[in-house]
Amino acid sequence: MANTAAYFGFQPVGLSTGAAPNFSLTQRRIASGNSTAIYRGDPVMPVVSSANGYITQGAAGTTRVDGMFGGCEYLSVSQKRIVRSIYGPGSDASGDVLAYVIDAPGSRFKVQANGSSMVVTGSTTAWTSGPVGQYAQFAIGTGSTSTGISGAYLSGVGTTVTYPFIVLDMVQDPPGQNGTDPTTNYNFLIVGFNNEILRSNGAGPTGIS
Amino acid sequence: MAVNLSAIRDLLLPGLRGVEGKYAQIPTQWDKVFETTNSNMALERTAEMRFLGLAQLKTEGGAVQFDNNAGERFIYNQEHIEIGLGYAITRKAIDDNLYKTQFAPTNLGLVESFAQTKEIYGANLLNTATTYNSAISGDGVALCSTAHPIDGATFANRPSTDVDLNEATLLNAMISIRQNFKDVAGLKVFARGRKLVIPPTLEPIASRLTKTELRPGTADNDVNAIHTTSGGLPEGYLVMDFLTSNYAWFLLTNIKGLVHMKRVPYEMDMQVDFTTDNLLVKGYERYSFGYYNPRALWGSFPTS
Repeated sequence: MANTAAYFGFQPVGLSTGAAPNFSLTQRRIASGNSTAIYRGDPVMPVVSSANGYITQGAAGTTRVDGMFGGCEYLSVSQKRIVRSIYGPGSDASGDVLAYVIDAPGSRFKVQANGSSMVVTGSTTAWTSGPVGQYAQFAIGTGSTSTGISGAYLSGVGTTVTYPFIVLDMVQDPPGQNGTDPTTNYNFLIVGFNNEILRSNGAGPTGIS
Repeated sequence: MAVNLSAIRDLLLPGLRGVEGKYAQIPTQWDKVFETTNSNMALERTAEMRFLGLAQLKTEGGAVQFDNNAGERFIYNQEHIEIGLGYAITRKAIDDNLYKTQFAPTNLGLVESFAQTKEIYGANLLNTATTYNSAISGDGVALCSTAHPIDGATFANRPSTDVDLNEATLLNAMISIRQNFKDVAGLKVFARGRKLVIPPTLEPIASRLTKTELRPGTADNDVNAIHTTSGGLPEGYLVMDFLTSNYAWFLLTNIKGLVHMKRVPYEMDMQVDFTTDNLLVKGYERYSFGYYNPRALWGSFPTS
């Protein structure tokens, strides 16, 4: 059954084999003047314009990612109290926004591919080719201010060693559900960090094509 | 990321009129299609044997003919799958949640998730009934096929041309099951349709076909032959919400053959992670849906 686009960002599903997942969160900071909204499941990146330690919403490219956004809290100017939100609205904060991110280097995420053919050829039981093992680029998409959920998705795979993610598996279950047909576009994939703050040496070895 | 305060931000303060989001679940449907057995093995195998063919005419003083072709023909394999799902919730999200009754940290709906997943896997056997799965092995063709091999012949549990559900096609299917289902030696077997299985889109048609006393869709005073032909459909029809085709329809027969095997029943466990104090809750279940006799099912797969 063909898949359809319904982007949901990067959903954490666990850790690499052998590591017990505890879904620990790391506290990071977003500048109060940062007007870019960040949604739950968005990759976040360091602010590279100055060495201030802040993070901001990720953007496609080869800058390292600092993790995956999972919520935040800030002192609200309008409500005059600490407000917690699963997305950072990009306004109304007095002082830094405290962001909670997943940055464990062995984290695994489920994410939807766009229409750029990150599919397997052959059959679902005998792959001729596929994206598993390739480095992957993402696009930030459009998050939802209603649900707070990210609209990020994978936009392509390649051999560029500084791409932020690496494809580790294809989602094929439960059968017949959206995203589980690995032979058609808009399929779901399992990815891990590649070019991430806590990964040793940043990028991995030369990718496969 | 674990469920944290930001994910339950409004549950931290008093004054909410209600906490909604959980709904009544669809009653179990797969158990009305599959028989359930227990299993204590990784792989369950069912052999289909060939018994004796028809008796032969004996001539006076002549020798009786022997039929020594009995023996194993097909093996149907069924390997269980593991189903799991978990979630993590932070210590603060547990401690500060003022609505634990409505949004219980230890009960975020694992039972409902597992139940619906099982429905999907059950329906998947019907959804993919036209695709041969070599892991099952069996008779070497798809569950629903126009040519299931038996000794020296074939039988069909799918029409040669897939047909929409209507009075004529339903009657033809019921008659075909009675007339054409044979054992491996070629003997006719007592096979009768007993239940119509359809997606929600076909329910209006199924209702009109099976619930009227007189012939559906005509002004004549004929009886509705669906009630009596080949024994009728004593179990009526079943609407399965997880069939993916809006047009495919199935008849379950009186022959057992679709089976759900329980290897490990649903279980839930939880623990607190020592370093983060996050509560980790997970569910686990191991089972499989499969078949060991295609005579249990008749299917038609029109695409429009």
